[in-house]
Amino acid sequence: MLAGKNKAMLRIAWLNWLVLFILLLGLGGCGNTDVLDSGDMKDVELVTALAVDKPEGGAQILATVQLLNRDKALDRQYAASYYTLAAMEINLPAAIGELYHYGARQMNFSHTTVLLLGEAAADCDYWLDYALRSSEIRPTVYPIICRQQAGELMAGAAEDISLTYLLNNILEPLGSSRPGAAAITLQNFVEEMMQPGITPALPLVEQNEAGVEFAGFVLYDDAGHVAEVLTADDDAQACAGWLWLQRPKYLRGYTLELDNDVVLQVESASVQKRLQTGADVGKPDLQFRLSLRAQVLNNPQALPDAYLQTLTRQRLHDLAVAALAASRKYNLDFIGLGREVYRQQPELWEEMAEQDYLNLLTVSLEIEADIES
Amino acid sequence: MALHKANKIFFGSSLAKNLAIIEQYVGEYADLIIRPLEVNGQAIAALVYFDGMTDKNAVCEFITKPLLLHPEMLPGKGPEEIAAACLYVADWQSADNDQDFMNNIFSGDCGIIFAGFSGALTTDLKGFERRGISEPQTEIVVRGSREGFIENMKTNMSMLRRRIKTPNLCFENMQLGTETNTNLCVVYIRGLADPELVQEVKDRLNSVKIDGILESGYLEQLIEDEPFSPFPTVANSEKPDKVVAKLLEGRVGIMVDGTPFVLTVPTLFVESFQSAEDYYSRPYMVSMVRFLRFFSFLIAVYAPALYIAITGFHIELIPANLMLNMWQAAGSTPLSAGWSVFFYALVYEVVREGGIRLPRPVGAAISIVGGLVIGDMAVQAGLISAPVVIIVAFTAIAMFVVDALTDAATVLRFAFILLSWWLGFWGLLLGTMLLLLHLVSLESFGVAYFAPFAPLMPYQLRDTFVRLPLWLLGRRPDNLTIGSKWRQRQSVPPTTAIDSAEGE
Repeated sequence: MLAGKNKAMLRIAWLNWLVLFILLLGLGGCGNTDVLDSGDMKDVELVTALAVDKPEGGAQILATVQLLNRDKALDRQYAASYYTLAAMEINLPAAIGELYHYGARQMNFSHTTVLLLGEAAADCDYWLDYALRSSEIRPTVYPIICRQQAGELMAGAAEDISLTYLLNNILEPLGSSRPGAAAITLQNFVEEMMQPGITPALPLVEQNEAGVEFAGFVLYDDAGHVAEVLTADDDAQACAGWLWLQRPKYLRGYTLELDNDVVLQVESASVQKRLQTGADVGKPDLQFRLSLRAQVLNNPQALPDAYLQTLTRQRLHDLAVAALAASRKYNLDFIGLGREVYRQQPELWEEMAEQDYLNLLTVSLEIEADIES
Repeated sequence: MALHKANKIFFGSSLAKNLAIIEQYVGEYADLIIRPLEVNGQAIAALVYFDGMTDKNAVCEFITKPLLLHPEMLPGKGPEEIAAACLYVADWQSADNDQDFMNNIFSGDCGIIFAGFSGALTTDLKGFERRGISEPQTEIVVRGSREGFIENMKTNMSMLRRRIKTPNLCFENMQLGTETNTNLCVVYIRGLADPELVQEVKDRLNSVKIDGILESGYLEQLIEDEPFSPFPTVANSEKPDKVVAKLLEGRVGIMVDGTPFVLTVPTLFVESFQSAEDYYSRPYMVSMVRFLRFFSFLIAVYAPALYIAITGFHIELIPANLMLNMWQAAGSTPLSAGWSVFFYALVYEVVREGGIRLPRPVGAAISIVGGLVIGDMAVQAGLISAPVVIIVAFTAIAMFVVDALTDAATVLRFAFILLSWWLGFWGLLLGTMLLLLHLVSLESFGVAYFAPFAPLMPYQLRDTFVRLPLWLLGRRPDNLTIGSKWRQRQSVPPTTAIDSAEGE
């Protein structure tokens, strides 16, 4: 009788384990076919870049993926290491779904670094939803807008060097794996879209004889549509001012050209913002304190350090003023003045949000430059 | 073979009849020697022993010669009186039936049956070949005693007695196995070991009904708490200092004649990561090594499964540069990561087993051939990728860092491979959860196996992932001993004793 009781207890114990196991499996969502259909590494095709275009006059979306040739994967700077596939459908998810039928059945976007957008497809309606919903595209992917057809740029080559590789070097200078000043990740972009008081921006590139070059910034409105384009030709100082005020910590290695052919290389830069209000202040005053440490690369006239500091302060002041002027001109707060008000004094932001706060705020600039010869 | 012994036949006063009882009990006796002793043509006694197991010279010197040279001391005396007066032996045991008498003879004793008495004597004059005390091959240490137990239980008992010179060290002999009548001994320190634990050990041993005990591993499997668990709840060791340390914590040891592996109970999970020499060296290096052992165990269990999970389900976790190398290497192989790992792990187990069983000069060569050549050729032939070889080979080495859990690590490794192959990280988490559930529910002779992690015993955590200085480890484990909790002065740094002495 005792042996029978032990057997029964053992049976109950095993049953408990089995029920627990099945419950856990069920709660874990193992019915999701994504789990069961996952591909082994040897079966996947790595997508290094995704391009989205909207052909002129058409309502469809052209999706182009750049895939890595497995045999030449380690030579990824060369154009021969890649091949592209393109499909056109009514929207981006459908177009990418179509690509799966073209032989790249196990496309994997987990190592995609660049999301290239043609100018016509730059509006968020065409690409942002897919990029956010995709379980594979990382939030660290760099969306970039290009003047030409994005697919053509991606498939092109500067001699035998892949244009996408050159583009990557713009974003992460010299293969540093650290984002450069113009490298805005998808995560940064979406965060800026969600935050009040700042106009989100994405970098603009264009292909020319030299290859691929930075061409400015594209500014978005609240609805995610392209509002304005700051070009490196027309608004060069404003673009540079944006970099110094918004992304100073990414400027390491950046070269700053001053008068008298002086060239400085930035070692470190930072900006602190402080909002001052009150009756004694008058208008709300947003103070930017920009700190810079740089090394002299070129000083043909052997100008003294003190003078170089003066030149540097003047130059940065001009850039910041240009950025502020462009912001007021286009009524697009891409410097993030409103965001600072929102962060530091939310009650004040509630009053100013519906007003023309760009002109209500005064902006003062304090620059500390430490130059080493 | 019988699981139960036959009834005992008691000796009578007739020497001839007693010898007939012996011959009937033994059956075919090619090596049994019955040496009659006669004085003036009259048989006074007979010696019974096995050729090759008893020291014949000692028998002649210490038994035969005194009896034959001094027959005048025999009349009117019983066997024990004769032994006390005539025999030059250290000790003797009385036996009045065939089984008790022959059990000792089978162990190598020399038996003496006296004419006219129903009692017989056996005396320890063992003379069989025995292995010398040497360093155990399974527990090699850099610092510490290099003595190891041998197959002779009496020698093993003496090794413990030499180290624990206290009257509280208790040895309780038993015999198990209806055919082998294997001698075993329960050893503990009275006052430290819980009497209930000692009784539990004896009860479990007495409940073992088997024809033969060939090794302590038999007992280990017959008395353990969870026979289906991959984790051992009965520890074993070949080193006397290790067993002594465990006895001093209140554990109970079981020695089995014929094997150098002594069992100790209860056992904790964390003991598998502790080595005797951990306490002979300073704590800094020991702590690092202790941490490495835990890490190695995790590697041994999880590394192949992690590789399969990452390459099959979560390749986004791999950094770009590494990804390209691995992706290119994997692309040329016909097998997926799961099959590659599974296949090469099986190959490794075959090579390892072959290396153990083959003769030593050949075995080492085969292991090298199997490990290097086969792995290298498999990569060159494109069967598996180089990362797989690296992962499996490193796992194999890591498995032997924690020797006590090698078997458990092997079983768990394959289980986790299957889980991660099926469900990726989710499978790994599921397996980990089930493993932890199992560990915390496991017990060893009434003591929680996962202590001091669960239940949490903060003081004992000082000797788990790290080993604090010895003067901070003065408290005995609460869950193991009933004796004095403090085995040394409480948390006093070594220099304090000198300072206080100088102050005086």
